[in-house]
Amino acid sequence: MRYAKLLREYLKVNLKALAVYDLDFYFAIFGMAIQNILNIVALGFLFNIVPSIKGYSFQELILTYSLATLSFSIFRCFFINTLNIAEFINKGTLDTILVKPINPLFQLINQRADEDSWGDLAVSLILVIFVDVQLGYPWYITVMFIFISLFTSLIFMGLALLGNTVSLFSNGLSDLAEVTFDFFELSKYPLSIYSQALKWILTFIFPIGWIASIPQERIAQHHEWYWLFVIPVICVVFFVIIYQLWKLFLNKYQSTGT
Amino acid sequence: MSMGFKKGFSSRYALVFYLGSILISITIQFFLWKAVLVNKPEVEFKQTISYLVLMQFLSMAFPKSSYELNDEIKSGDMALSLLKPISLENKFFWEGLGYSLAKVVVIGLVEIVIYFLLVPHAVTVLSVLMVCVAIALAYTLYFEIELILGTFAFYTYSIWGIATFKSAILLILSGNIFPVEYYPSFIRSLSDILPFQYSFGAVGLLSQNPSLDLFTKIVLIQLFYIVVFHFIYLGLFNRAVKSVVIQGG
Amino acid sequence: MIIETNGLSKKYKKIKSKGLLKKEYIDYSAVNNITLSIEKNEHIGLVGLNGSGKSTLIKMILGILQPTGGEVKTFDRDPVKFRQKNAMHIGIVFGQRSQLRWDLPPIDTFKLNREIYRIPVDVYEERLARLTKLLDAAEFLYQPVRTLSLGQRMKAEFIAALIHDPELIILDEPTIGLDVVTKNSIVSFLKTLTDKTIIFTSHDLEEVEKVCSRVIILNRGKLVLDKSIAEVEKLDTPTTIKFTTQDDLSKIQGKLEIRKVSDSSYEVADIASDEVKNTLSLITGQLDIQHIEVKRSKLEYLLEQTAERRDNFES
Repeated sequence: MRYAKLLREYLKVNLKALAVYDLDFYFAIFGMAIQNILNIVALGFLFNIVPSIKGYSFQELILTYSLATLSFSIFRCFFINTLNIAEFINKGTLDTILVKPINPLFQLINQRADEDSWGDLAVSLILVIFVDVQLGYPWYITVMFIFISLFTSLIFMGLALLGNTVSLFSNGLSDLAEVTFDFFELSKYPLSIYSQALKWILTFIFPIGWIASIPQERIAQHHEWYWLFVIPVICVVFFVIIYQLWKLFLNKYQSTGT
Repeated sequence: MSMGFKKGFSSRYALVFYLGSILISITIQFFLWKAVLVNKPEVEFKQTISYLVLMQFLSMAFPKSSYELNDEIKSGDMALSLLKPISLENKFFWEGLGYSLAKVVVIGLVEIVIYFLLVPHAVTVLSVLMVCVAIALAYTLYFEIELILGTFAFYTYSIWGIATFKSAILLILSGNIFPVEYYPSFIRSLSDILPFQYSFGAVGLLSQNPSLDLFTKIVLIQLFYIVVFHFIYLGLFNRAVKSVVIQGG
Repeated sequence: MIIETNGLSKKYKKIKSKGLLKKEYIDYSAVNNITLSIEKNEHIGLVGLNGSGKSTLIKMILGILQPTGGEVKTFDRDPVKFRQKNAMHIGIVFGQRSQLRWDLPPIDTFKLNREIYRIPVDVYEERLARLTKLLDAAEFLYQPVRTLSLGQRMKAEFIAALIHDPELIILDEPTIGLDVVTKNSIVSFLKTLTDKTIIFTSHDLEEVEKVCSRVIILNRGKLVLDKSIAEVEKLDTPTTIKFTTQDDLSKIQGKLEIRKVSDSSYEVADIASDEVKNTLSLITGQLDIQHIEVKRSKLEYLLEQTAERRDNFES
């Protein structure tokens, strides 16, 4: 309850901060929308060369793309600040977080909002709905995808926190922000295009496959509804394990100090 | 220039991570194109993927001066830089070049090795020379585009929106992510006219097909755009400085 | 007892030399065997030069740094374990890092803090009004922080740190870089907080003397002095007089020990406090003075003294 109230206050403040960047904010949303459309156009070019890629049609490939983008933009809208921990350590802002009577991760997440991910969120949401209609999927599949995406964004956050541990360990030396973006790139395509070894890694070590490829295959193609339960559990378990690790490294950071 | 070079090495870890992310990106393109060109001859796949590796190399090596210009404007360091006896353009160019060279030493070598492993046709000294000249000009052209973008920061608070816009244009019109030869003919002829392709795709085409004719054509267009953009930048910049001075910012 | 430490130490490993394959480390004591206790409503001045261990000590008291030896208790609890609980009763101003949101007005940070510290709205409004008045901050509460001057920003930091009415206030070099007027207004504001425990770190002893009831001096991680302000004031600190003159010094030569600093600039050092007046009148009476300066740096003197004492002791 207390955290819910706090969250509301943080949201208000963050939205206000976004409003400062007025012109640029709209530019960003516009730019992101265009970038998404162009990405899809580029995907479309591929289908000028072949009719289907590993059995995936153009629409199906767009669905993988937009599911990954939806999940990633939820992560960016709400949890992006976890990527800035190296900067927080270097500027000493992490200390001002640690001396407050609130969970440090909660504060870190809410410390800043990202201005240009809202465009992505809107575009990917529209895309998911649009492609589902194109493919003739019933409406509840779309709802399921949106529900699943709320959880799969936790995988991105987990990966970001994993990168954080390196920053905490090295006192803000290295910044692993970019790597989360690379993971996002990997998640945009069906697992079946990758080699066996890579498929295995992306399922069991860095669970990227769970973000778009597995939900699409299990739910939209095979209608195996129990995955609606399995996927969120996997996401939460992954996140909790990484969060424990993160806390461990935060304590370690406290024992070394600056 | 040595400033930029040092900057590159002080964040050695950052460069290692950068290399990692480029390798991931190459991996994705490798598998994607393998799936796409599954029924085509092996040579075509190799040619495409070596082209894309070359594009990766260019995107990595090219300067990000727009961010630095933007930083300088936001932090107010601008005023100091304007007082220095070296023009801002020169300062950014040499700093950016130093940083680029540092990146090339760490990351570029790996990419060049990958490129030569994949490239399916024989490489002659002359073709290497022509590609190098084209890369140098592509670099300069890209730098001018970056400066123009950075100058927009005088008018808006941050540059991210504009930068996103830029990368969107690059994606579709430059042949950076997608090989120019596979563009549909309409986009292909559009990107032939616009400047963006001459920072990326044209270099790739030249590397696949190193004829003197193509080389001359590309170099002339590159030079033309460099000169034009340089004057556009100067115009924008002088206007921006004036407005800053009037505001007393 | 608000804070109690017993043999508190913090050791770091510092890289001594970096070889190709292995690094050599040396142990470095940031805080070395400090035992002290701070009671309610005491105003403590924590003084030391840069790198003397002030910040490390503060961080351990706050529980954001784990000690390597000894123990520390804040509000009779282990601060690391009870960090979030303790944080409800602590207010902190860091002179060099900000808790304010850079692109927003200070008022938004205050509102956030209201939620973080669960302050009822009416209590919050009343406190805000009082703090704003005391610090004369009304005019800039609604301006974005990035447009504020350093002095205004610091005042806003104070309000943000005190809005939850903390029992313990920690001020880590809060006056660094401020102009005299702002400094004075902050000092007189701090004086009004008599029902609070304050720890004020600074490397300026004179400033601390104005605010605090007790002074603790750290040097290279060790506690070298812990005395009430009255005792510190009583300490006889020798004075140095510097002056510039074109005159011939022969008139006063022999009566004073004069050292030549540079052309026509001289210095008389180590003057006992009851001798200062005489010495001054002697110099000004006999010579045509262009510039004169009386310097009495208690901190430097105290640090020198304690360092010497320890050297003697150790040898």
